[in-house]
Amino acid sequence: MGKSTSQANPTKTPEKNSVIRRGEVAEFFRKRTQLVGFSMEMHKFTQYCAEFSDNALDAIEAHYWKRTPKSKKQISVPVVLPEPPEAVTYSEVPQSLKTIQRQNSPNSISDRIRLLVNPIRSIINIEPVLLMIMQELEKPEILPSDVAGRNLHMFSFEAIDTGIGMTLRDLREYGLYLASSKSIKLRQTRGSQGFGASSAFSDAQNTTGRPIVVASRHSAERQGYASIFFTTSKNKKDYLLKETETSISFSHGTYIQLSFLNLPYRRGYADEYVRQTSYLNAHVNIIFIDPYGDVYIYPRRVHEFVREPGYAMPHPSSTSIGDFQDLIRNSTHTSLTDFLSRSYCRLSRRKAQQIITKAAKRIQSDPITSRLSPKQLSQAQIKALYASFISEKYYAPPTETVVPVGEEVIQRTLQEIFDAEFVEAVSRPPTSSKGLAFAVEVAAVYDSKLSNQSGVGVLYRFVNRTPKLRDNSDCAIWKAASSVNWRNYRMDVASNGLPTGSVRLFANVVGPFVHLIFKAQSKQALAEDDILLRELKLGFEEVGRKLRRHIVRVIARREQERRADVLLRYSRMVAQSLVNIQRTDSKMPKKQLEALPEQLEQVISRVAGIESPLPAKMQESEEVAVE
Amino acid sequence: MSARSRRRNSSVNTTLEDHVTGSDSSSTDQFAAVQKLRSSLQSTQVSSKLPRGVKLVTEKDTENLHAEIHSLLRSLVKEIGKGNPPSLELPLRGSGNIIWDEENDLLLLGERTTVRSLGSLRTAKDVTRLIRVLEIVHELLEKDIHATKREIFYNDVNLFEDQRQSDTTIDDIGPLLGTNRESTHIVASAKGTVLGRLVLEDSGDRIDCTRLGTGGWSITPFLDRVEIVESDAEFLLIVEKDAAMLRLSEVKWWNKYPCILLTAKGSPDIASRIFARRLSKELKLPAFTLVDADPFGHYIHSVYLRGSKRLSYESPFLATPDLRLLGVLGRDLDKYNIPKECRLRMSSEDIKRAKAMMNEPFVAQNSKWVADIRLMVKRKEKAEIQALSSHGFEFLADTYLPTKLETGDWI
Repeated sequence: MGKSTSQANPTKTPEKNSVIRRGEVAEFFRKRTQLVGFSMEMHKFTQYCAEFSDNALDAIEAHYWKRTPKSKKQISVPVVLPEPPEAVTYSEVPQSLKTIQRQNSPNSISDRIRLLVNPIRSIINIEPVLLMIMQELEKPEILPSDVAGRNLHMFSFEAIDTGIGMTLRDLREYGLYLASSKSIKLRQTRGSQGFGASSAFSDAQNTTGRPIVVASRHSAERQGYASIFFTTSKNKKDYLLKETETSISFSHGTYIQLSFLNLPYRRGYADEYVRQTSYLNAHVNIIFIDPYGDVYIYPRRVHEFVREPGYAMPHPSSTSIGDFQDLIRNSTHTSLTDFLSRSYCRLSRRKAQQIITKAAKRIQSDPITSRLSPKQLSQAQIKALYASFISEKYYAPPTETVVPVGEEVIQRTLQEIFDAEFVEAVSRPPTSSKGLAFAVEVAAVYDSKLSNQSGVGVLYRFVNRTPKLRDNSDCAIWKAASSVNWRNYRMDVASNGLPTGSVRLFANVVGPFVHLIFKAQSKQALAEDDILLRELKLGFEEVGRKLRRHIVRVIARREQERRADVLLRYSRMVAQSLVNIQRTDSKMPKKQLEALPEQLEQVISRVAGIESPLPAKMQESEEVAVE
Repeated sequence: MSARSRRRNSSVNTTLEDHVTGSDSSSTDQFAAVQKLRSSLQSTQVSSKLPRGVKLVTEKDTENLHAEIHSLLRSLVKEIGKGNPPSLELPLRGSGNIIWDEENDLLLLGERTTVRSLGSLRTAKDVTRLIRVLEIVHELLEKDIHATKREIFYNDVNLFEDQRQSDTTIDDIGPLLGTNRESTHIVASAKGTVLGRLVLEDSGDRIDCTRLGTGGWSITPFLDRVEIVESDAEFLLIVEKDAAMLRLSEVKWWNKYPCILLTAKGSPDIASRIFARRLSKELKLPAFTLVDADPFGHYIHSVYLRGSKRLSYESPFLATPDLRLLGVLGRDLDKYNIPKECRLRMSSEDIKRAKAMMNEPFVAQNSKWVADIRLMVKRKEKAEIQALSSHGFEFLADTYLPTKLETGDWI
């Protein structure tokens, strides 16, 4: 009875023989920023934008959700936003930090923020805004040997968001490894554990040796704070300016500033990332300024702010025995019924009782009752309990944990962006895997105006509304797309299995589930979960069927137009001949002959199934020369 | 001193002595055989009633054809006014739908038709071409001019694309209007010549074919402009080769033997065939051919006789149905002692052609003809008309032809 804890009796072994010690997470990851996507390549530009826009969008959403009333069921009501601003402009690109005095005081930080905010001061306090600026600084003087030969430039990166902002305490933690505002409870958020910003800071410091500048103002507080610091391998901060009260020109939000080294800037990476981000985040105004000084503005397009995803306890289905054992080990519940019904969603006390009873039947020798506490269970009992737990049927997990973008919004946004003859979106109802809910959304855009593309140019991947530009063919989305028989939907197919041509596909996987299924810490690809693959495939097929209907219609229409064109061409010649011949026929009524060309035009148009293209009076110029 | 009397399509016989200028045997028996043949031709047969659904194809004159085109198109315009796409119903002109009543010498068109509509993608181009050709034919009729098939093609190269296409369309116009090609004023160039006892009017010019020197009158393709005025010939002689023609024209052979001479200088063109037919029909003359003694010569005879092997829509209008093969026959080579050195060896092509001809039904049913061809093949010998000159240049005109005519030695 009870868990037998077998702890080795500590014998006094000499220290000098022990070699294993626990390392520091920070120490490990500081040197391996490439694991999180920071290496000397074009994608680094993307990664900086990605990390901070992820955080910014999460922060903005948190701010709006905090303000909205919650119904009794704790489901938030979507916020209705005012009419989007008529035009969002960013008139003057601020000077780069190269020429300005380095920020080392609260005032200089404040000034810099004011300068950046000035062109959008009319909306900064009323609209959700994300502003990112990347500029080129002076060339680095010294380079380490491993990169000495390469042509590296130094860039500054600044981001401002009008999110919920950070309190003083949060600000102190911000940027350290594993410091996250997203709790261990997995929700549908973009960021999760707290690797993003910290990795970015590591890369910035590693490559330039310059400190990080952060300023933030929480929506509930009257003042903002600024700090300048380095992060250390001990996962602490080394300050140049400890958190100090600072006047900040926006009412709530965060400003960060850092510098990094990378290859010379090229378009098509960071700007592409920001552009795609705007596709599924139409509820935010996004502005990006690149080192060339080009300003990319993506204004808000929708009236409704996105709904807050709920949180739910894990779902019993597809819980592994390891997860189960872990929960039991860490459980503080005093009874099994409590443990079961409170650790999992869709598990009532009655159901818990049923499970316990069934489990008891499995091992008569070691009776299980609901009065036992989880910690008291033996291995055999745990196994029996798990077996009956897993064999039960449960209702699907609550779908409030998943907030899809929605077919209508996706369609409307893509239609505005592409102005295409065919835009269709499909949002599959939420389902779950590994105990967490998710939903798949797929959209297709088709227009002969679009350029012929294949591979990455055709498939756009999104996870929790965040675009993923790397590790494309590694991702479950890609694999699901290439498993579809696109030829069946009248598409040309490339050797990679994706359709080619004037078509664009979009897939968005949303839900807390995604956090469990990224293939690497860089969070660029999803692993191949069976249920995920199935959902994706079904989504693609559904959108494929709509696409096929459209293409067939287009082909039929084109064929009809071609046929009509041919028939009308001939009928005009015939009309001319008939008029020429019958002109000399005394028995031919003149009126009937005069009306002939137009009549024939109408008859043939009708036969060809189209509207008569000529106006009421036929042009005189249509003369066929007759000798 | 040619006192001529008008010869109409009546059965009045006058003596021939008036016309003979030469001194040689001028007995009336000379042409007894020929006259006998002639009187058999003059008895016309009553045409039987046409079966239902069958259309008679006839030559039509300008005015009638003009009116018919207008009438056809008037109903077409009316159809369009009712809201229907115009369509043309074409009788099929393949051998499966045409009947040549050889006894009455009539071309009959059966009931099978095909409909070409402007509303169908498949046939719209055809309809356009047909109406375009109708437009051209209408213009030709209105202005009373003629055009060749090639000229019609050039009239709208974009629409026709290829002369073969315009030719096919032109072929279809005949059945559509129930008439032959000639009536539509679409012609082909001609190369034949006519000499002899014939007076005609060509576009208003009066032409006496006895007074055209030795060259003769060139047959014009505009045969509707030609009117046969009068003739006192007893027969028509169609000569394959110009060389033989010259032989006869040099001595004005027609003065001794009243006839009309016609040659197309080899394979006959359409105008020559039409004119030969006309002479034979209008003047009710017996017609003979003088060809080489070889399968090709016999083939030329068959072309004048009934046209191409396969019965086509036009052939009845180009045939001279009662044409007789006068010479040079296979059996004449021995009969008239053509020396062996003047006879040529038959080639394999000749033999092939000879065999093909014997297989033709219209040849096979003529046993004498078959026998003659078989004789040539057996001997493997052939001879040209000119071989007769081995007996002297005058042999052809003075001996050979008269003897043959007198004795009725023809097939």
